[in-house]
Amino acid sequence: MSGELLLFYVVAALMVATALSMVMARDLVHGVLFMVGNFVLTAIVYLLLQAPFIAAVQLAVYAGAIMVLFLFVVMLLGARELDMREPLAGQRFWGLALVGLLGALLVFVTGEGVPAAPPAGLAEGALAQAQTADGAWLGADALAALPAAERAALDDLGGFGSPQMVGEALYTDAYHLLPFELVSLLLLVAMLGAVVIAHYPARPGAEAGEESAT
Amino acid sequence: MSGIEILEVSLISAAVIGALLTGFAYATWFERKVIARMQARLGPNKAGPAGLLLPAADGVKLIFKENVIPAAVDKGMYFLAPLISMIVALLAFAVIPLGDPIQVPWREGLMRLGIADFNVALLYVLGVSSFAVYGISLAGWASNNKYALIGGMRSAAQMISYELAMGISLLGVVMIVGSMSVTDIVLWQKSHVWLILVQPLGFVIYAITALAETNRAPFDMPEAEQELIAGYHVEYTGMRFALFFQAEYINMLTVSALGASLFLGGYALPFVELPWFGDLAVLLAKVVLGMFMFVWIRATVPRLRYDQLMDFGWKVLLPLSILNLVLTAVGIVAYQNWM
Repeated sequence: MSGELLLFYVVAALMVATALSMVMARDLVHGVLFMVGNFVLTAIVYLLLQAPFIAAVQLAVYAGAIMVLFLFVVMLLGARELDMREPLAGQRFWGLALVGLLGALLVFVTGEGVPAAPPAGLAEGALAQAQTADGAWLGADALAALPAAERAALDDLGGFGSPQMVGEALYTDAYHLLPFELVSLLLLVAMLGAVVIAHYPARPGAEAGEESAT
Repeated sequence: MSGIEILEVSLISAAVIGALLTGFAYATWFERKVIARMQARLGPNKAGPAGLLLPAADGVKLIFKENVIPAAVDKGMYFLAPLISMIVALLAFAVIPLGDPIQVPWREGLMRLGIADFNVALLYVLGVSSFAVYGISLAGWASNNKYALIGGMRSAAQMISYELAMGISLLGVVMIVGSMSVTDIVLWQKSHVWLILVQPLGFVIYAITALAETNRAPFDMPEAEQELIAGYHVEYTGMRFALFFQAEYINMLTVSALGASLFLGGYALPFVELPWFGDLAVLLAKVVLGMFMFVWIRATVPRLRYDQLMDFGWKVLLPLSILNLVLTAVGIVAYQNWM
């Protein structure tokens, strides 16, 4: 077992532990913190997959920004102690059943249905070259197995998973550019919606500097 | 990476942490001394020559303080919060290059002076620094004290607001250099020109947001004494309080070093090649300059009101940083096409 794989198992075990703790924490603030821990561990998995850019974004955006907002809301609304009764009848049973179903599905997909060819759209990109003969996509071993010329081409873009490469894929490749722009549009609409909801007409006679500051 | 390189990086990390902790001790002395001179006082002068042993005296005092843990605090969070603050403060320094790589007698090749150099370094810094919010807001929440809670809330809102402007102000630098690695940015400035000349607006925005991110005057709202007693750390005593204090000063050292590396040429001087200890001395001098600015501003500018702070962040700094981004993009395209 390589050190990389060992580290993966340790991180994966911790991820499952933090995810379970998050769901089961009675105190919502603790739950938020477990989720932060889970996101940090996810960033480590991205690092193991040779994707430092995604790892850094995961830290900055999810663990850093979004979870702070979660924490903020939980603290402000003061919803600390959860009501432990089940809001939906039979929730636990159906939850467990669906988890089992998802698990079976994952085992089936990873065990049987691995696509032999890389997904469409990736085929022309340098990403596809990181795939080894047996269809594995994982990590440094796959990269090390590349022929020297192809590795050099990757290094020209700053290496596999570098910001340059992610940028090239996102902004020059029509398979990614269109979805990316659509998502940007969606975020813009959400942002405008938030502004419209938060904006209220100024009270008559109110002074300009008097509005609430949040 | 061979075993000996891992050993080298570990030793450099230990040295940097040691330097930051010493730097923290003397930053407190420096601040008191400089502020005292600005207010026509003498400042600390009793413990040792020119008061130089004052940090040691402070440390001994804090260690021997009684450790008061208020009733009804959330114990786990209460102990965790200062640790988060401290660890996060130390982490961000990892990407700052301390000098040109040097020849070492014990192996082939060059040894890097600095802990890490990777191509997403700036994103890493932004990510890690946004974790500082957790330390402060959890401390405020776990203390079970309304003043602490309000202090923690204020700091969370403040840091989120100013982080945006800070990140966007750094984008100009990234666009010009074409890399997010701090080492690449320093090398670019070595071969071209200091980025403060190309990005004056970016530098000003960075400097202001750095004040806000480190919770320093005039943005020290989270600990406004008159309204909040001391804000998020009011329920902390002894060394646990000292950890927050340390985190604040180490954050100041880090943003000074980062600002020096991004805008003021880092460890390099224009036109001169220095040996490795010269590089270190130049970086140290620039960090001291940054610390002096921090202290100078604290002695000069009164604290903002909270709504002014929010207005300034969202309505002035953020649009300005976006303007800076657009101007930089236009400038780069114009330069590439017409020069």
